[in-house]
Amino acid sequence: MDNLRIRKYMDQLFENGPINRRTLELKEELIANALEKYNDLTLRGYNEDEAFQQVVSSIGNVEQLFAEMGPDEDYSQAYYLQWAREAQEKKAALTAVSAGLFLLAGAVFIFSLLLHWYNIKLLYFDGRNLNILGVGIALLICIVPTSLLIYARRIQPPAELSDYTAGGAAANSEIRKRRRKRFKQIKGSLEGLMWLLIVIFYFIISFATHAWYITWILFLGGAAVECLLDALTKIFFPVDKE
Amino acid sequence: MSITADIIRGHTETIILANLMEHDSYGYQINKDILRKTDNRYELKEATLYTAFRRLEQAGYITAYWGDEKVGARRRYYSITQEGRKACERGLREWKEAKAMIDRLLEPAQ
Repeated sequence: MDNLRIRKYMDQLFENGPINRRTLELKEELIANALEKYNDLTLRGYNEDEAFQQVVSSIGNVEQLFAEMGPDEDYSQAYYLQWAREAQEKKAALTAVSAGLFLLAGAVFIFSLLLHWYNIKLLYFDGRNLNILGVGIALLICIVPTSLLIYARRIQPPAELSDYTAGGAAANSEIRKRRRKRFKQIKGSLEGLMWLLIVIFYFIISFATHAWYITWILFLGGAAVECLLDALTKIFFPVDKE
Repeated sequence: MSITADIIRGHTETIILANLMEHDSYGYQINKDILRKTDNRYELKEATLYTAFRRLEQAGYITAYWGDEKVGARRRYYSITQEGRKACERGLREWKEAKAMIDRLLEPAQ
């Protein structure tokens, strides 16, 4: 088995060839056939050197082949297409999750209203009906899909691929930094809104139900959402390491 | 011999198509078949063979697929298309016409 010698020879031969898929395939095809020929020749009694020389001399001039292989592939374009595909999948996933969460929030909202109207004592504690808590929970749930949708809308190709998008320019990390800042601003205002709503609902629900001993749990929910948003920031907008 | 080689080279693509008419095949196998049919007198240079493959592929006369060899490099098999069959028949017809014509031109008149 003198496979390495033939493979090495092919490596040298293809060093000057264009860099694209067709050329790589041609190389693999040539190697497969050359190896088979080499093995046949050695089986017929040729020694290793003779067989190698025969194989090499039968290959002929590959320059003319290279000319037909087309230009080097534009890898940045390939990357961009791949990025676009992945981004689309990510957006679709985020949108689906958001839609699911909105539906959940709606369901919780309607469910709790129904419980309230029909005065069904499901969340019943110490003689008081806590069903109206569901309205607050529903609103809290809405914060997560809203953030996800805002983020999904803001998915943009990396700066090194900006040639392939409409107006993209500027340095890579600069754009990322700006995006991160923007996300933080949005996150900040969303959190402000959330806490405001929590406080309002805390009082509304507490006064309505007199269930002061349990309604504080709303604040825990708010804290959980804030932790989640922080985690999202860290996942999607990592700080550039310099 | 060089004239023979030139004439054969002019029909490389039809020769490959004719070979694929029998069954799917790959580069080395096709060259082996050519060697056998010509009693070891003619063999295509690999570069010529693969240039022809690419051209035939682009013309839609053949399609390629990879074999599933477990060891070593994969073979690239070729299979003739309907268009390729027509092209092969056309090539054969042209060759027969040319042959008849050359026969008439070269043989001494009676």
